[in-house]
Amino acid sequence: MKVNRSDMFVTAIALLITLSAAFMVMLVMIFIMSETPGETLFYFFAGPLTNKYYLGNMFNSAIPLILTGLGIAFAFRSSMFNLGGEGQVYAGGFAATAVCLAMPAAGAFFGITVSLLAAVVTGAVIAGLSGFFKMKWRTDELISSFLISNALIYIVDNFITGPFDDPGNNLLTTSKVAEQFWFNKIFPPSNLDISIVFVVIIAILAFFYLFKTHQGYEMRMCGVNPEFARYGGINVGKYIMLPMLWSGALHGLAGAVYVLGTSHACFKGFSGGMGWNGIAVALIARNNPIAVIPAALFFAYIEAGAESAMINADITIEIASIVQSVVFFLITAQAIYNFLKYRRKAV
Amino acid sequence: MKSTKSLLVAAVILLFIAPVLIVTGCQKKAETPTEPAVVKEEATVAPFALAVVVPGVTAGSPLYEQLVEGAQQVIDQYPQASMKVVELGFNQSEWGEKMTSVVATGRYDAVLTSNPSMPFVCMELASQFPEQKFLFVDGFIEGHPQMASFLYNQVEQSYMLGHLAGLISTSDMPGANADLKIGIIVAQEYPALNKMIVPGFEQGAQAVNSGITLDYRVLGNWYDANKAGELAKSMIDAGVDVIGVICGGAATGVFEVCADRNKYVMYWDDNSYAKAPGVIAGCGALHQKMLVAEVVDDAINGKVEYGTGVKLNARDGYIEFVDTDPNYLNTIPESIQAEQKKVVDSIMSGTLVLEVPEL
Repeated sequence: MKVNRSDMFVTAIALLITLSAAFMVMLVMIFIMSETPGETLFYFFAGPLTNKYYLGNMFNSAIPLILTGLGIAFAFRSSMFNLGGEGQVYAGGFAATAVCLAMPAAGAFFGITVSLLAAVVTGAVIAGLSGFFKMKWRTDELISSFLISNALIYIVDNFITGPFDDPGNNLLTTSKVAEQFWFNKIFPPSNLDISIVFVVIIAILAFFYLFKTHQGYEMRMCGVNPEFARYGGINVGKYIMLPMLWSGALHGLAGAVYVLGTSHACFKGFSGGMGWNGIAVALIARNNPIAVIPAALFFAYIEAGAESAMINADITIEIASIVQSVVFFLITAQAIYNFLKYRRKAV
Repeated sequence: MKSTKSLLVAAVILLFIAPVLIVTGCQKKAETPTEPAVVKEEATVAPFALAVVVPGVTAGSPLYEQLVEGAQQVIDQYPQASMKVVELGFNQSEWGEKMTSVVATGRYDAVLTSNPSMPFVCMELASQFPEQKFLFVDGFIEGHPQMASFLYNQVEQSYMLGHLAGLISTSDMPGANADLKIGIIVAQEYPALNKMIVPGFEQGAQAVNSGITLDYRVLGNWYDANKAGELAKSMIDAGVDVIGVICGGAATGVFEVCADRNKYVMYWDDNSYAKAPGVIAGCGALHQKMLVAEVVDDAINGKVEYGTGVKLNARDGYIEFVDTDPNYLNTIPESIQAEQKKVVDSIMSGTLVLEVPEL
């Protein structure tokens, strides 16, 4: 496939405008909300880099976003839409917690492996259902993945505040998992843990899988033009299920990694934003698994900057959510525009 | 190609405007003139920086509003004292990390917060920052050298509300029935609720009639008014005529259902009769602003005894049953008011002693 340099240039400029516009919104918000905008801006931009604690936490919060971004990239590469990320992350985190709580005396390696597997399988099954429904009855996976995810959030909520609730601690959470299952911290005193290494490896493997393997090629072909793929002898039905399974598995893994690495317990609503931000991360990265890493870091930087400005200056943490939302809307609008342009060309 | 050029021009404009705004933003805005605070002339204390950490958001929560106002009131009296309010938001999984971020700045002499869960959240990070002092109101921890806590005797408040619920349930007030059932809807379970609030509420009602039973429901969150309303309907169908609410904003769903079905609500921690006149039949109140002001004043003057956990009773003036509000006086018959007053007075005077259990 020949790469059109002009298209790439336009895409890059459009992305630049989108991100600039988001930062402009942030600047305006800070000027409106802050009594000391200069100080606020300093802490927003430089705060995450001023000490080891903030820097490490910024990288740490990028970990689940890399995984959810990869999950979305897998689905989008095959023209599948997985809008159920929030529920898949949540259910995955809960499954990992439940497994660890069920065997508190198990060895670290065995316990972590089984709990990660449980999370991966849980996420894959949930997202796979939408793929299966589409394959079997042409059900729109965009709707079904969202609805299944939403229903699951309530079910997991019910488990956390019901049978798994830890009444000894005043918080809406399960008990903490046994200490041997916690991921090792690699950048104290921050929360950054060893999983960042594995997550980067997963991103690289995902790139090779999508772009350097036969199956990855077929998956992408089904995404670019299913009719052409079918004509070429590719089992298109398989590539409705497979990307959703991968996508759900990566979302489930994100939940488990967050629980074992950061929170050590399954808090009610911990996945809030991870799924949706994963979509924005994948769109910024143009569904390229390697580019997902800097895109996730960009999102984590916005959040860390807002937290730093909140603690050291005089704004509220909501400004991060506002900037992330603006990025999300602009990127999505741009993606829809590109999609429509592509369809017009195809017709 | 024309569209590419337009995009490029737009990007360049945006990128050039941003630094200009950043530079101009570095100039401080003109100070807004404010009311001069009453400054304590005799204050000769060391500089003091306080972080007031709100586990949630301040707006809409009477206890957190009192927390901030009480602290600000004292800080304004000391020119060398300063405070910073940090809201942790609603995602409890992030509270520990955000609290650590506050402490890691190393700027604050003390961190003040309010919520029974906060001692638990701060336990781990206290060992990482051994110089940091913590002040907890409406929370309890004892024996930690970096922490001082102040716990309201919620058994007393709950007993007073339970007693009124029992009086209403056994009365001939409109909507009261002969089923001898009262109810309580709670957002979540936690030690202070399980060991003080629910038992106190039940004991108060059973002091009126030992045959009264409590219908206990857990909502699972602090915001879902629809679900709270559904729970209230189900309880009323089962014969409940008075419902206690410990479920934050979700209580509005209970108010609506009780208004429709002519039933009554008991409300903790704040005078909230005006939220549902005629439906909220009894309110307890915590004088958090007063407590916070005292605690902060002591902290500034180095009088706080860290390592202690203080339990505060109604007779100390921090807890009351609100029986002077016109909505209470209009809703509750005089005979019931008189019966209720006897119990409230006995608690306030110390005649009726309700101990705080081990948490």
